[in-house]
Amino acid sequence: MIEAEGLVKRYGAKTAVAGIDFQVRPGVVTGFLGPNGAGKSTTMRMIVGLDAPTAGAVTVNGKRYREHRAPLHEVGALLEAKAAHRGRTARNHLRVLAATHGIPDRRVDEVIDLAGLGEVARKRVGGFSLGMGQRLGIAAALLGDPATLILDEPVNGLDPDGVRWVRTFVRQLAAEGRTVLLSSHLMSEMAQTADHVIVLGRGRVLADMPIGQLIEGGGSRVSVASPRAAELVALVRSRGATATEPEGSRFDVTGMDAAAVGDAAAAAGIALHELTTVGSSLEEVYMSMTADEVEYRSAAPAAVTEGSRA
Amino acid sequence: MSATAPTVRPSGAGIGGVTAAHVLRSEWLKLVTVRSTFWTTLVAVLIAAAVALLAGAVLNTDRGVGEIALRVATGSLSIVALVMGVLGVLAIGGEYGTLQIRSSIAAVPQRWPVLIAKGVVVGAWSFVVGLVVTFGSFGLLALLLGARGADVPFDGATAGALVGGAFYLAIVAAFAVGLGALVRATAAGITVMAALLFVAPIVVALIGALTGAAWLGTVNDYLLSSLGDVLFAPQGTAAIELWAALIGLACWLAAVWIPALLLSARRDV
Repeated sequence: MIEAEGLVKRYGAKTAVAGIDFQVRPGVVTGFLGPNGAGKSTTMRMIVGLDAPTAGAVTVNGKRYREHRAPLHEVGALLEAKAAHRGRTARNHLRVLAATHGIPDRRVDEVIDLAGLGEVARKRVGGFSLGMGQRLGIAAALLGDPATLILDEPVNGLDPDGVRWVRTFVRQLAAEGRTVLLSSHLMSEMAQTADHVIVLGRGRVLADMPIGQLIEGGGSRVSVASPRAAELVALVRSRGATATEPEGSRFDVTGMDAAAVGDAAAAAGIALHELTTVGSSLEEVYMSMTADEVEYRSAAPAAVTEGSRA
Repeated sequence: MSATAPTVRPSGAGIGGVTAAHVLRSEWLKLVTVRSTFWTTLVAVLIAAAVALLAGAVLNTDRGVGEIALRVATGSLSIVALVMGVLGVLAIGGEYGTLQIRSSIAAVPQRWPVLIAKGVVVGAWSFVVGLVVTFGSFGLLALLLGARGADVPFDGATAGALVGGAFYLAIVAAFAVGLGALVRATAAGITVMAALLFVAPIVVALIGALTGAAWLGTVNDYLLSSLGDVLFAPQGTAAIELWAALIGLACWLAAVWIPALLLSARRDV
């Protein structure tokens, strides 16, 4: 359980986090979603005490991170892909961190296997790819077998295999009853990994809800195709729904679900060639929500709303 | 990835947590798992050996070599001190340069134990290197001069001076760790170390010679390098008393360590 209350962080005149409250509950994958500069990383850094809040506080399992006797056992954090001395081997890097808590080398070798680092464990970190660096960071986060994991952009720089691996791994950690907080600016990643999202924009919480609810909130429509489209449009409109003008045989209906559209068509003896519920994607919802909050807006705002930030 | 049954462990199970002994062990592992430790140590030993060999070959043995032998055996310490200073700065500067510091602080969020343990471990390492350097140099010199028929006396005072030299290296290394923690950058730290150990004595002596100001002589006596000389000077030849030198060295340590520890508590990393 991570709880933030009135959390503020300013760097000089610049406000990175502008007073946020949130909770990250156990057994749930919670996603921090937001454009670059939204305050995701800053918030995560404050959780593990790397940055001191300007105001407010954040606690982990009821205490501030630095007040825990065995912090690595409370929270494992991947905040930087290669927060490791370049001249040290991966295994020695993990041994150094493990030693601070008296964690035995046996556990070091376990996390090396868990993170799939076996082949490079005795190589120096300086030569690691970003993907290997991410795996090393995840191995380090797991050292203390913590009940809470914080992963900042864990799929950043990973190849498709690596992305799939992280996704599976995160789901498994949550299934074991752990609290997982991960951040991403990739909508598709969140849609596939998180149960709950906290959307941040310019240091504020824009939304804090289950991911399904967030998508539902964007509304859904029914996509219809029929050889007698014009008649069917008139029919659904007469029942109070909204329908777009048919383009050929196709049109969209809102305000009426797919079953009702199908029943109405059947009752009128109109054939349907297609009847599909189209949910608005998380991406659409997110883009409309953060449209005003993107800090580093490009010259053409349209480019941002294209959803090509990934 | 095989499926695992849901488990949430009770807090702290099977893990000792952060203790002084654990942090010291972590810092010890850090020191011996990077190559710079061995390079700097090798350089220190080679410099000392070269000085001893050279002196052993060319020293005039006609009028007895007792005090001269000790001076030569500790003569390399001024350069070796810089090498140990570099080791100390690298030990902490390397953490900031590579972001290792973030991992270190996430593991020990109170921060100061990491710095203190690093100072202790690097200081202890330098002390041992110092013993090898001083006793090794003296032994080598005694061997070479002995082969040329000179008798090199060894007594308690000589042993004390050699241990004093090793102690000076420990202080310089610990000072360098504190300095590195303060400036948080390797290049800046090494520059300051070189300036303190080599440039400052020259500048002070130069200004003293030009102005004739007597108080500059006192300033010179309390420079880091001059205080070190007192620890390994032959008996009765030091500029100031041993106790005064020890207090002076403590002040130098405090000058970097107190601000380093105070700032480390609140700086963002």
